[in-house]
Amino acid sequence: MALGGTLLLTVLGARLYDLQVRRGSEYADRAYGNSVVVEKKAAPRGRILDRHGEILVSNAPQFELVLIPSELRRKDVTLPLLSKLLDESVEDLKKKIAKASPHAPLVMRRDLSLATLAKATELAETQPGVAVRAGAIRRFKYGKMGSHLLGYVGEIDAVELRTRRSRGYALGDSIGKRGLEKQYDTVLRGTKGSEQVHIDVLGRTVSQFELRPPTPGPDLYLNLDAQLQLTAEKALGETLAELEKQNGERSGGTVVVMDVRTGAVRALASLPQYDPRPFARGIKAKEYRALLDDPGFPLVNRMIHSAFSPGSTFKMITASAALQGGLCTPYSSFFCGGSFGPANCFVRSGHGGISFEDSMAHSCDVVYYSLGFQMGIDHLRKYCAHYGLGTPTGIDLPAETEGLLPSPAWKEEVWEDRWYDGDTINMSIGQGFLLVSPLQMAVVTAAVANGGYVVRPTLAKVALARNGAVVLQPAPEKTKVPVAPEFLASVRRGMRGAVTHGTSTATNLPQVKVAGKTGTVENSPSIHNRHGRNHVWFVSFAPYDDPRYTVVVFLEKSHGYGGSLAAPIARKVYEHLYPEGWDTVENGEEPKLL
Amino acid sequence: MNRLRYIDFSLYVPLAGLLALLWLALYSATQFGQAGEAVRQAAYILVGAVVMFLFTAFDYRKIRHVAPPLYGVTLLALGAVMVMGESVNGSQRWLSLGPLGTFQPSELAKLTVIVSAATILSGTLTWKRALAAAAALAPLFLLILVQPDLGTSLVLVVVGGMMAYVAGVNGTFLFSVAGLGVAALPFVLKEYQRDRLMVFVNPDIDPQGMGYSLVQSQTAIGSGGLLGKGLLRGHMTQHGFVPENWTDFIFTVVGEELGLVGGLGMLLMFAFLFWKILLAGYGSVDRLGGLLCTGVATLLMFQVFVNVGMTIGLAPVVGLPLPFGSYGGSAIIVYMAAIGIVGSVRIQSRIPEEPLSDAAHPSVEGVVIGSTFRRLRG
Repeated sequence: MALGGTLLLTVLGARLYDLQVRRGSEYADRAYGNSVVVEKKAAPRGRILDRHGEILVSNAPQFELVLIPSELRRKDVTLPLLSKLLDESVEDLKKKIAKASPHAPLVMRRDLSLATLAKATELAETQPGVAVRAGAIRRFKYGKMGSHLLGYVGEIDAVELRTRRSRGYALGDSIGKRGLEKQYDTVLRGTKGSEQVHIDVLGRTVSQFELRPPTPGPDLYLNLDAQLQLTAEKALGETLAELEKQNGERSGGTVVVMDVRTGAVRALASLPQYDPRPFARGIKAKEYRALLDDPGFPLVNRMIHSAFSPGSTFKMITASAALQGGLCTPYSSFFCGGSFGPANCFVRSGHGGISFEDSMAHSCDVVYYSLGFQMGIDHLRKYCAHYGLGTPTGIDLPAETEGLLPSPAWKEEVWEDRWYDGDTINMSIGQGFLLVSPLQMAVVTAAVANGGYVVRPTLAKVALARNGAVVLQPAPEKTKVPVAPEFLASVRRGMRGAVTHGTSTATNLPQVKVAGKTGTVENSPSIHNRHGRNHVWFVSFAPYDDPRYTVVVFLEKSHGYGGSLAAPIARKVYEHLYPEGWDTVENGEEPKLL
Repeated sequence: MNRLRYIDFSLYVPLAGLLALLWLALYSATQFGQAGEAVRQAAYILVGAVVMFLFTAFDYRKIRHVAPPLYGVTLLALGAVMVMGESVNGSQRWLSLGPLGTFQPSELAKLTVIVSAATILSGTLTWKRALAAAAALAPLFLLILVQPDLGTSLVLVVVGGMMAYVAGVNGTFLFSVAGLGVAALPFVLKEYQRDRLMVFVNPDIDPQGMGYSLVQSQTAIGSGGLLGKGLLRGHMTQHGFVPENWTDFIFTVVGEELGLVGGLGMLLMFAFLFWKILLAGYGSVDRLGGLLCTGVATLLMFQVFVNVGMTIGLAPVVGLPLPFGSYGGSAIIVYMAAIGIVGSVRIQSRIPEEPLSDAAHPSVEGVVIGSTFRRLRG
C-alpha cells in the first residue's frame, strides 16, 4: 500500500511539474490572454475658460456602446442584434471589427439617447464582448460661439496616429481636430493612466486595478473675453445678415480685438461659423458634406485662414516706409489732382492740396501712388516684412496663412513677367498682388499703435493643472519695427483724423478716442465673387492717447465702403469695451484673472 | 484519560499543515462573491477537531459497539435523502438540518464503511465474514449510487475492496469483481456521468461546455508556474474562471496561487500523513487497528488522487472532495474523525506492556496480525 500510495503521489507530482513548469508559460499566456487587459485610461480633458474664468468648453458625461472584438464569443447571435440596434448592416459591422484592434474597445456609437441606452445595456448584459461605457463629451457653453478658435475633438485617425503613436496616442483616442483643441491638444489631454482590468467568464469587468491614475488635463484660460466675443459676433452677424439680404449672396466677415501691448486676443470672430456639437458626438457624413457645400464656407476662419488685399489700410505701411525713408515729413504737403499717371484716386475729382496726415484721414490714393513710386518695391517690401507681412503672425491656432508678400522675383517665377512700376504703385495703396490675413493687419495696426512693436497674437493666457501649477504661460513676444516714434505718431494722428473728420467718422465716440483707417478693396469678378463685389476693411485702435486695443473688421465681398459697413461694427465693439462713463468706474484697470 | 499521554503528535502535524494550507485556499477562492464559506469552514474545522479528539481518546477496540448504531443511522440518513433530500446540480445528496445547515450522509457513509468492514473483518477471515462485509456495504453503495453520486459510491467500493484485500481476500478474485463492476457501468450511469467520462477522455470535445471545468482548471494550475501568483492573486481563481473552486476544484487555487511549490508541498503533506497512518496500521496491536488504518489511508489516498487528478486531467470529473480542503462540514468532520480513529490505534500501540484487553482471542490475533502486516507492506 505504501508503494501504491507513493506511486499515485509521484504520478500527481510529475503531472503537476509537467503542467506548471514545462508548460507553465503556455498556460500562463492562456490564462492571461483572454481575461486580463491592461487598458489605458484617458484622462479627463482640460476645460477651456475665458479670461474671467467663465467656462466655455467643459466635459459632460455620455454613454457609448463599445465592442471588444476579442471577446465576442457568439458573433452569429451578437452581430445581428447589434445591427438591429445601430441600424447598420452585419457586413458593415464585420468590416469595422476586422479593421479594429482585437483587445481595444471599439466605439460603435457615442452619446446614446435614453431609449438606445436601455437597449444597449440589455445587449451588454447578455452578449459577451458588448459593453456600455461612460465617457465624456465636450460641452460648449455658448454653442456655436467662437467655434473657429475653440475647435473640437474627434477620434484620432490613421494619419494622425502614425506620427503620434510614439507620444502615447492610441487608436480610439480623442484628439483636437481644429482650433485651440488641436493647438493645445498635448496640454489639454492630460496624461493617460493605466489599469489592469480583470474580466470574468461572461466578459464582464470584475475588478480594475489602477496601475497609474490618469492626470487630468490642465484647464486652459484664454485671453478671450467671452462677453466681448458675443458682442463682436452679434454685431458682425447682424451686418452679414443685412448684406446677404442686400446682395443675395452669402459672405463672410471677421473681427478681432487684441491688446496692442501684449498681443492678447480679446475676441476673434469669424462668421459664418460651424456648430461644433455634431463634431463632438461624431459628425455624420451627410452633415459634413453640407458644411463643405455651404456657400458661406463656415469651416474657413477668415481671420487666419484667408488672405485678401489690404486696401487702403496698407497706407499705414506705405506712410511709415516713406517717413522713415525720408521721402517726406509729417508736415509735408501734397497735391492730388485725382490721378497719378494712369492710376486714379478713389475721389476722381481729386483732393486738391492735402497735408501728409490728412492724406491718411481722407485716404488720398494719389499721395501714396507717388510715395510708392518714389521709394520703389524693394524699400516697400522691406517695411512690409518689418511689420510681419508675408509670415504668419504666430497666433496659437493651427493652419494660419502667411499671406503673400510679392517680389519681382516671385512675379518673374509665377507670372513669367517682370515687375512694373505700376505693380509698385498698386501695392502702395494695398491693391495688386499683396495678400494679408485680417490678423496680420491687426498686428500692423497694433505696431503703429504701440510705438513700433510687432506682437504675437495669443489666445492662451495660462494653463493651470488641477493642483494649481502653471503648465503653460505664453510670454508676450515682440520685435521692433525700425520706424522712429515721431513718424508712427504722425501715422496715428492721420488715423485719428480719419475718425474725427475723415473716412471713418462712424467710430467717433464721445467716451473714447478711436483712431482708424478704412479700406475698400476693388475686386474683379471671379468664381468665388461672381459680381466682383468690394471687400471692406476697418483697422483701428483706442484710446488714441494711450493705445490699448486694436479692433480690426473685415467683410468679404460686402460691396460698399469700409467707413460705412466695417466701421459701425468696430463702433459696437468699442462701445462694449468702453461703456459710457467707463473711465470713472473702472479706471482702465486690467480685469483680474478669476 | 490516561491513554492520551501516549498520543503521537507527529500524526497531527501534517494534518494541521493541510488544514491551514487548504483553508487559506478556500479563503482565497471565496473572498469575493461567496457568503462566509471560509468562516463556516473554520467552524467546521473546530468541530472536527473536537470530534477527532474524542475519537483519539476513545479506545478503538470498543468500536464494535459503535458500529451497529452508526450503520443504522447512516442507512436511515441515506434513506431520508432519497425521500426528502435537497437537490443540487441534479443529484440529491443533502439533508437539511434546519438552522445547523445541511448534512451529507454520503460522507458519513465513508466512515461507516470503514468502521463496519473493519469490525466484521477483524475476526478470522472466512467466506461468511467476507460476504457479510460485502452485504453490509451493498445497501450504502446502492443508496449513494442512485442519488446519483458515482464518485462516493466508487470510494466505498475501493475502500471496502482494499480492506478486504488486506484482510486476506484473494486479490485475483477482487479484481475480477471490480472488472465486472466496470463493465456494468455504462448501464448504470446517467447521461451527465457518461458525458463527464467522455470529456475526460477528450476535453476538447466541448471546451465551453462539459470540458470547460477541465480546461479551466488545467489552465489555472498551469499558469501558476513554479512559485504561483501569490495567495489571493490568482486571477482565474478570483474571478470565477474555475467553476466550483471552493469545493471540488479547490486544488486549482493551490496550483494557481502557490504554484508547483505549493502543490507539491500539499502532496508531500498528504504523503507524510499517509505514511503516518500506514505506520499506525503496521504498529497496531491487533487486526482491527490495522484494518481501520487501511480503510482511512485508502479513503484519503484515493480521494486525493481522484480529486487532484481530476483538476490536472488525470482522472474524470466525478465530484469527490479533496480531504480537509473542499468546503463542507460533513466531509471535514468525517475525515477528522477518521484521523481520530487512527490516532487511537497509534496510542494503543505506544502504551507499553499493556496487557491485551482482547485476551479472549489471543491465538486468532497472532495469525491475523501477521497476514495484515504482509499485505500492508505489499
